[in-house]
Amino acid sequence: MIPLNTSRPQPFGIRGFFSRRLLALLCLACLCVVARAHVGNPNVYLEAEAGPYQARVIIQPPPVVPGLAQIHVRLLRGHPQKVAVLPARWDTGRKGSPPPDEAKPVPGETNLYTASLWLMNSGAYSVFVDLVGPSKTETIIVPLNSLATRRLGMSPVMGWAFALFGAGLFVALVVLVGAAVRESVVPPGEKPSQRRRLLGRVAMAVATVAAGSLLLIGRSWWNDVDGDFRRNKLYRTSPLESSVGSGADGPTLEMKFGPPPPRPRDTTPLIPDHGKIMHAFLAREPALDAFAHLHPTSVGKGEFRSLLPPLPPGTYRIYADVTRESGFTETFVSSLEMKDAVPAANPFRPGDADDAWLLPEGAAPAGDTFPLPGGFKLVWARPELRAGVETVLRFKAATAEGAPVLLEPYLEMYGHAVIMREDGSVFTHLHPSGTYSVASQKMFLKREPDAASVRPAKDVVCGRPDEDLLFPCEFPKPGAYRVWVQVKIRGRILTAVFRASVAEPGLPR
Amino acid sequence: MSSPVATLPQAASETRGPTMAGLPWYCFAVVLGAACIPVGALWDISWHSTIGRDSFWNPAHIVIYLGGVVPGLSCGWLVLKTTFWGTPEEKGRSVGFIGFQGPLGAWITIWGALAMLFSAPFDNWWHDAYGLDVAILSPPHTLLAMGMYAVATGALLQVLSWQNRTTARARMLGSRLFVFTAGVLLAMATIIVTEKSYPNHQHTGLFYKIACGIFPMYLALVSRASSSKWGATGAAATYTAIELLMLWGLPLFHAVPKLAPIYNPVDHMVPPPFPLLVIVPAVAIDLIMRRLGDRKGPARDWATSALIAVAFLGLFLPTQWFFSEFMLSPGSDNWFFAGGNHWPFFTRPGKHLSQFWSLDTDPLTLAAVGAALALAFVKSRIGLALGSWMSRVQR
Repeated sequence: MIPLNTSRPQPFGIRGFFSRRLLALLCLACLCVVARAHVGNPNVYLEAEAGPYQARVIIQPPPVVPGLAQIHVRLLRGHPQKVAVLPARWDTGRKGSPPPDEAKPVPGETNLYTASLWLMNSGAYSVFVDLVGPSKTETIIVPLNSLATRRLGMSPVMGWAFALFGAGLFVALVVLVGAAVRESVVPPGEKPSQRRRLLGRVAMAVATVAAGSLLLIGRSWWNDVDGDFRRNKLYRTSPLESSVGSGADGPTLEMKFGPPPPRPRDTTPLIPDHGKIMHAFLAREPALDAFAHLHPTSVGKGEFRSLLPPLPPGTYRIYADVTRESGFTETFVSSLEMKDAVPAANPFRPGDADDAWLLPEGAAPAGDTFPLPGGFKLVWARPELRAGVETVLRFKAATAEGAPVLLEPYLEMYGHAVIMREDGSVFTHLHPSGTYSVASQKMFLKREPDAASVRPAKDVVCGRPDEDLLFPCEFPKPGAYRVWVQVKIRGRILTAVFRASVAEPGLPR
Repeated sequence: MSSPVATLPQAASETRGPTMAGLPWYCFAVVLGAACIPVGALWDISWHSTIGRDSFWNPAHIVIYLGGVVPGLSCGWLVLKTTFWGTPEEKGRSVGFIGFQGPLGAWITIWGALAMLFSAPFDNWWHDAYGLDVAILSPPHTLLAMGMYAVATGALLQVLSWQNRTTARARMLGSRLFVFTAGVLLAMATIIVTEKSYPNHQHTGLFYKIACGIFPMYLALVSRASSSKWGATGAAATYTAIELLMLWGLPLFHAVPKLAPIYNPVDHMVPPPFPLLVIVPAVAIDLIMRRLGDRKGPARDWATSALIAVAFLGLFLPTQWFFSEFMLSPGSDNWFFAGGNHWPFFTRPGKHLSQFWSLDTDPLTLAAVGAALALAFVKSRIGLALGSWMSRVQR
């Protein structure tokens, strides 16, 4: 397993020692809307088969753009002669990219390769992973978002070091100006006159004012750059308002997008992912005892609607996943206040045949086995979970007696999972093939003129129905998590839920 | 504090023998070091525009580091030697600073080298915080530029103080070195404003304000402080030569972008834009100074400044105005002018690259010309004042 050393919280707030409180307030304001596809979990996982190879690709996008992305390729099957990686922006593709870089083997590992690549612009990117064999090169496309997602604070030690050195330069500059005026034109060997000494002092005073003014200008400039970064470069989603409406078939979830932030912004149209234009995940707070995976449809510009399943009243946290034509993926965060329980029509016909939910009476996670309706169960082979470490969540569907069960495709996959930190700060929607957007991958594939050489590797994308359900992923930070897993057995979509406790990196759970 | 020794005659070692031998070694070291800075900076910009991928040890960076390290260490040694093992003559022509002694120029160079050093971790943090910059102007880069200016200014003062102390025969070499160093400073100043001085900007008011804010000061300064009659022309020629050297030299090397997205697939090192034709007003400024500038005095200097300002803008504006039209035409798309060849790999090709920019928001109006003229006047006056001081620097 790779300790990925992922986005640990940065010491916040001392951007210099200038305007700590102001920055803290501004960041607090940003916190409400700073999000991305997969909230709080930027790393992308993809596992794919390509020709004779099977590989797991893990990409750690940079927290600021331009910045360096770390790419790890773990070969699970096959030994290519060379592993090469290449980032391509959606609007230029491979044609507008330099030759690929060779990923180097990681010392001490037999099947792990790594490389660093620069992402220069914001927006949808993909990384082309070339597995070069003796006769043929197989390529895997890994879509990812390139975004600035955090503001870096300055550690107190660094702040003081900069301040001291800067003060030293300031004082030296003033003293040098004084010396220049006092002594520079005095003939060699002579002492400066009283007048020159006085002039030197005046010059030092003037230099102090001038250098101080320069410092103030520099501070203002820095603040401007920082403000521009927060306004135009730090990624934010549009605000999303959710409410309960009333439809002919019952209460509905009404979602309405507010005005988008000025920049950075992707305005390409939405495209369906797994056949749906939006995937909305609802979890009742604070117990997370009711869960729903709905598929709202567009009912107007920036407006989406879905029939609500018979959920109990309460406050729901909502994460809404969409994919754009560029390949850019976004997760919008919202909250829904539901005063009354949704009346259960008998029989209830969901707004979308693939909508699925889990009610409190069936949602008591306990241990590693979750009983499913119809006499089935889902068993989690729970590994030791540590924050920022590559892991694989392994589940097995079986009958109550333990006989294996054949899974059926649900939304083009044999399993869907949602990882949510109980405080809501982390949300990841993943599949057996990883955490990327399949629709985004398809768009990158479609745009490549030489797409025939790139294999989407269908069997891996969809998992294997007769084997364990595997989800390669990572928990970005320690804490209490909830994991929902959705499978389809004998035509029925079933949802299981598990608790997960994630330890600090390097510490036992 | 100066050494309490009696007034000394000009140092014999500075006046004896052939002129080359008479020039102290540290003058050569600091001037050559300073010359590395614009060369390294232009190379670095080309590297970013062509290859994109960067490292601490890329050749362009090493040339820039040499520009800080060689002068900084040379001057550090000079200060230690003067302080602890210096002759009375050497101490007599030095300036005191916190108990140490050394020529004023050496102190300024050391300050510049330290500022350059300090800018490195600052710049690194800046990249981590806001992303790798693709712009030339940023606060840490400005600190770096201040350090570079200080290194070059220190070199200038060391050469000047030697020139001002030495005999007429040896003075010629010092004067040439001074003019060369002033040209280096001029090149550094233009590099900082590269992004605002593309030919596409040369019909805007801002471009002429920037030009008037920079060039008249340097040209007036060097024309007055130099013992050469063609000081300003020489400095402008040095700047032009450095730029042309890079303009014609860099494209000879094959290179391709190593970063995506590539909108402009270049296959050679991207050259800088053709140098500004500062040499035209520089000749006029030297002629004015030959007629008026030698006779100093506040009133005379104000009048000279006004004349320099009018001459500068009066010649620079039409020269650059029409030359930029040529630079944006297909006629300049060749190795000599590199008209359309200076665009980085990340620039989207299109008609806009051969058009003037910001004509609707910042046209060259009478008010803009007036503001530019006022700037040229003030900066010329400052240049003359600094030049007067520099011509008297002894230490």
